[in-house]
Amino acid sequence: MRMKGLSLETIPAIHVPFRFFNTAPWMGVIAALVLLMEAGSVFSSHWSPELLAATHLLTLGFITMVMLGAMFQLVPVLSGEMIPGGATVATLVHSSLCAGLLLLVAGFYWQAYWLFNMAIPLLLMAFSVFLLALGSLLLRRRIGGGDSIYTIRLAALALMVSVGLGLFRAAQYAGLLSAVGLEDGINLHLGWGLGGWLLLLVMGASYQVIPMFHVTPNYSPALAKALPTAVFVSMLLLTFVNNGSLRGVALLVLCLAAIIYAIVSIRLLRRRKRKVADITARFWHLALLNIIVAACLLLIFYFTADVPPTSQWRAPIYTVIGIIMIYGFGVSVIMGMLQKIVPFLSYLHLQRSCMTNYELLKTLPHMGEFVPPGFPRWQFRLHLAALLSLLVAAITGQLLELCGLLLLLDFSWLGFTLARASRLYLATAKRVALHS
Amino acid sequence: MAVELTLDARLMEPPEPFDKALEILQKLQPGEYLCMLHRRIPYPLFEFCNALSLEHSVKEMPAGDFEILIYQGCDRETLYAEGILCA
Repeated sequence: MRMKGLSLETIPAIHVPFRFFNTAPWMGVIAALVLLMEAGSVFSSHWSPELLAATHLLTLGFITMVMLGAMFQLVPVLSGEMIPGGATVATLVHSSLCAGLLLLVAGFYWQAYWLFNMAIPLLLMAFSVFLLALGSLLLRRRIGGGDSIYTIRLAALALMVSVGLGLFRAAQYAGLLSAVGLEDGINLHLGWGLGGWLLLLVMGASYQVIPMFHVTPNYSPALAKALPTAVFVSMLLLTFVNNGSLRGVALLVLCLAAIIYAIVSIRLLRRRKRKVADITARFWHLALLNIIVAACLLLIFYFTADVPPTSQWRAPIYTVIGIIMIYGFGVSVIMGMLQKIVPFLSYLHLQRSCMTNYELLKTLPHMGEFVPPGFPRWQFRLHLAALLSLLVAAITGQLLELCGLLLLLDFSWLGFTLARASRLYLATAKRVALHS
Repeated sequence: MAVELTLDARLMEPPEPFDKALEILQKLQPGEYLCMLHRRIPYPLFEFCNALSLEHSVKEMPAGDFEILIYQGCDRETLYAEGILCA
């Protein structure tokens, strides 16, 4: 098979993913500040405005921000095709997502829901532009990428549904729409966001990055297709079917797919060819363990709905499942992956800038210099401490200030690490440009 | 007869395959070609091939790995004649 190589225009410039990566930790820092300032009320209810503000900073501001940036890089590499619009689309998506999210969060935090009137069109623009650009590429039949692209297609659909439901709910908050069918709409928004977009995208990315960065065997092709299909079909059933038994089966299948995915991934990571200490692998283990716990808790939560006593323990469990999925799974995967991807992309792009002068290749910093080994080690310690304190705070209502402080340190450390790597990249790129 | 230089990158962690391949390609002489075994299609490497005026060919192996042949344009006919490159 003769293949067309990627042109320089096909892989986006490094500032495209890096602007998303460098913004995300600071959204996490704002979430930590919300926890610190509102320690007394944030966990009073899982719908408290402060908790909704912090949650959206983590889900949209951190997780989705990094994922969108990664998509601009990953999809062209996997498919061999460029996302239409490239850097212009990325600029539009990034700026409207930042502005829309901050307005949404401000609206929640100050309960000034009129701000949603501005947040909704901005977020709608961010996601429409992204999904249109990505969708026009993903809809092409003859693109590479195999099971990863198949899973990313499903993830993009899940994102569309989750964002649609979220914006619908925001419009209700703003008084633009009547408040009908709220409870189910919120659950579906959460389900499509966490069970759909987050889980499916992590699955799709892991099919590539776990074997590539950790030198493990590949995922079984049959399983790599069956698991995301099971997740997506389950979500469809949970959305459109009212029959209680069928919904129970759909949730069971969804949770089993998540558990099987986690077990298979853990087994693959244990079969790493290189048994060297690797913090990203630890982040993966932590994340995968969390999704197993979240799936088990969700099943217990769902199938014990009629078992008394209900209200005392069910409310914290609901919040705990959210924390485990968002902070334990999503944030862990992303923090771990950034420790690998940022040095890799920095090195890759610098290599490309040496194409006119190969002698400069020898002068490039080693990949390990972009994120020195001590940085991810401290990141993991801080992240684990923050996660545990978050769980304790949600269950007991204690240690909220400590929890906020640990979150602040966790995200600040990541922000500092990424900024340091970006500075080293920029300084080296400048030097290379001078000598090319 | 074309001389094969082999690089088995299947157990290498990025960016080692790229670095090692580039090291070989910069010294590639007429009559030599690189046969690289890789778990992925190394798209970024192909940019360097283009810059070095080298041609490449990718073949998927039964186990899902890829065999990448990189050679000088002047050796294309020889490689076809020897059955190393397939039409």
